[in-house]
Amino acid sequence: MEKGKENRTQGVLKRISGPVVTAVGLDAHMYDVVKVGNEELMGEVIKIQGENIIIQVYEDTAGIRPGEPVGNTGLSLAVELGPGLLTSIYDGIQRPLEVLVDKMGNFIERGVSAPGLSHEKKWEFVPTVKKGDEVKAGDIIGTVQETNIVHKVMVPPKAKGGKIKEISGGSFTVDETVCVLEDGTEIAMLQRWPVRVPRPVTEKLNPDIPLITGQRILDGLFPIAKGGTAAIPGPFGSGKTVTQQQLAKWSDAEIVVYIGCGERGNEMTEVLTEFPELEDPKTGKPLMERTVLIANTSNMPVAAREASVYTGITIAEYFRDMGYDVSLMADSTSRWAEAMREISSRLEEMPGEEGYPAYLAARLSEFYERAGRVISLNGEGGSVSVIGAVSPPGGDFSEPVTQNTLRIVKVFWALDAKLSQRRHFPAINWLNSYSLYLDALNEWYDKEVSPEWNPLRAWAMGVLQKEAELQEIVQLVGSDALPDEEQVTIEVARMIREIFLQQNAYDAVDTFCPMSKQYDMMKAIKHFADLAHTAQAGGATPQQVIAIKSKNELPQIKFIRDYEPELEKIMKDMEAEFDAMRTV
Amino acid sequence: MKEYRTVAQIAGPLVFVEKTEPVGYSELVNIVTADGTVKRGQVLDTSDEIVVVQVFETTAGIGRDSGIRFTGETIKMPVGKDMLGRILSGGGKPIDGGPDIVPEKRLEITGAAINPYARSSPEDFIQTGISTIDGTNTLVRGQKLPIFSHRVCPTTTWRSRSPARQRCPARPKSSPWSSLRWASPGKRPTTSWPTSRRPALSSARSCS
Repeated sequence: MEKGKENRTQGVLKRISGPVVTAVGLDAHMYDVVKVGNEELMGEVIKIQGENIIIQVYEDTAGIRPGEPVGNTGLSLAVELGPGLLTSIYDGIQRPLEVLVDKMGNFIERGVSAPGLSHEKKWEFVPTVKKGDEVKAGDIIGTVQETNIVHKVMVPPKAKGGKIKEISGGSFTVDETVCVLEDGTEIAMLQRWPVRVPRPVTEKLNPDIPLITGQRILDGLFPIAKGGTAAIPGPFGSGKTVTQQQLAKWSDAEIVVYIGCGERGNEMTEVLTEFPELEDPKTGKPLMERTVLIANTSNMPVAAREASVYTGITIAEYFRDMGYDVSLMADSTSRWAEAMREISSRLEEMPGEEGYPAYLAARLSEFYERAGRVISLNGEGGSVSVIGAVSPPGGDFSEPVTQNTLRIVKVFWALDAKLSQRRHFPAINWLNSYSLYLDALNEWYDKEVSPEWNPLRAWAMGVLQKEAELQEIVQLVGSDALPDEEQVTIEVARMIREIFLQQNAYDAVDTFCPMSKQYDMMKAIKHFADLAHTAQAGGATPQQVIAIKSKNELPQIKFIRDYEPELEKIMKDMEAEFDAMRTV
Repeated sequence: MKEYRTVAQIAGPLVFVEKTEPVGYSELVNIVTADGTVKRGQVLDTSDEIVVVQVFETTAGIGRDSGIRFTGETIKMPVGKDMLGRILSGGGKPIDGGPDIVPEKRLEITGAAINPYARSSPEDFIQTGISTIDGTNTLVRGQKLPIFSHRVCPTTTWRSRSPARQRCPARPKSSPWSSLRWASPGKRPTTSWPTSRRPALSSARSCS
């Protein structure tokens, strides 16, 4: 703003072109939130060109005319953070959908605003610091029992901090002051944070602890680290939803943020009806109690879709700062990129590949880079792991969104419709998937599982890859033409696939497989392979080896909770069978 | 209603109009050509300098002497129970020789997005009587369904046949599985989904 000039907070509209409008006579900064037109539709400044302020509007602009007023709020697009976030269902700009139904019925109309958090509800605040204590930005000053999750109330990250003059427990709304510092700063439970700015941290840590999901193919072969990033391409009918639900249910993250971004309305409804009914296996309470849902269905305004992923990750970062492990699922980032493309073409920007804006890669990485395991300002360790679904049109992985995503994320779980048609679940293709965290996580597996685990995994991957090679030969000349040893390799690979990789999400026991059991299962298969190898060296035929009966009992241990005695018995039988083979 | 004769440019289906008073985005436009024909269009881009109108018909006959009338409202159409049995044009006007529709309501044709929270899960089976649909690719009430076609396929026959035969059987009485029961008495086929995936909705949440 020029000196001596008055701050002009009111301008007029000059041009309307879909969700993009131009205003003049307004002083604005990039990403300021503005109210557009007589109906005060919410918008955000996305470009400044001399006098022209270009705004993207989060609601439908039909009927808006040039000459209508535009007011600048002077704030950037921010979310309200505080008790009440959990169990909420928001649209892309943090309006609670439940409140919107009360306000405007079953359809989403225009110009209705609703605060992200309830400003009436009272929460029981318990201070954890006392009068005279020194606090700084980000420090935890008290707790609120929100659901079964303890919500930690923090000094806002940008506050100066100081000595506490007054703090008291009791029942407060989010707006009421719970703590006063000596310099007069009043702290309430509510914080606002601009969604496009990552929340500050003290230190980013190496992602060297896996996010344990209890899914064998994920934990065992393609682990994601806490604070890591992963992509799931979701071809139609490949079981993406079940995979995501398994992750939400079983992964050892305390908080789940689910962004339904540009999804079909009916599909979002499924999530909205199922999550509150799914039981959190760890507490027995509804899974919803530790979940925040954000829904922008495919027919809701595109500009709000662009904002929805930022809204989601800011909420995730807020819980991370309390010291929680958060997993964030964005379904689907492709729809988000398409929203960006639509806005970009309205801005008449130079299109890049397939019409996506040239900054597509930058925006994608900006988003994924907000994942991480950190020490927050208050010294607590927390993490945000981001799992983004990608839905490439026509299953074409060479399109820009998939390609740019793969460049950024370090884990790729290749869901495969062919596998699900063969009833192999979870339908994650073991040949195409990868995890680049393996090296960083090796040490954890050495220490927490067994020093034998990493070689075991390498062995299993080797067998599976060998199988893929051999299958080609088998298809040409039949399995009998293979050398004896390789016939056994094919059998071992089949065991790895059917015993280890296949997992039943609907079985009470098999739905979650702890790391120790995964290790035992893999060790049992390896033991069979070793015995078979020795037997063959001693002259046994592949038919004899494959005919070993006890190995057919192995899949049963998947479904037994206290499997150890059973496994031991099977392994003893197996050794006895091999011994018998030798004496014959 | 004001009529502007300030057409600056016509290109393809687009008409550019200058020096207008403020015109709303998405507004419906009537264009009167020299011979008196009225063509309809919609505002695609509006500013105080120029307004871009997309014409729904051919621009043949439109010239710089054509009159442009901005109606001041977005495209709405009259709706009412009387519409059943009528034949309408793409613009919503009766073309069956009958009288105009007596509107019970005038609705925006673009509609509004359903609040996802107010939706209920589509779970009512629609019986079409076409075995390949009912048996393997079941139709569900509230579902959207594209039909992909090739030029030699009888799409039209199919499209008209399926709604004509649609029945929405009461769920508890005739479950879609009932006809399968003889094969495995007392037991549902193993392909049935776990009941938890199809939760019953509380009435408060269901959409009217």
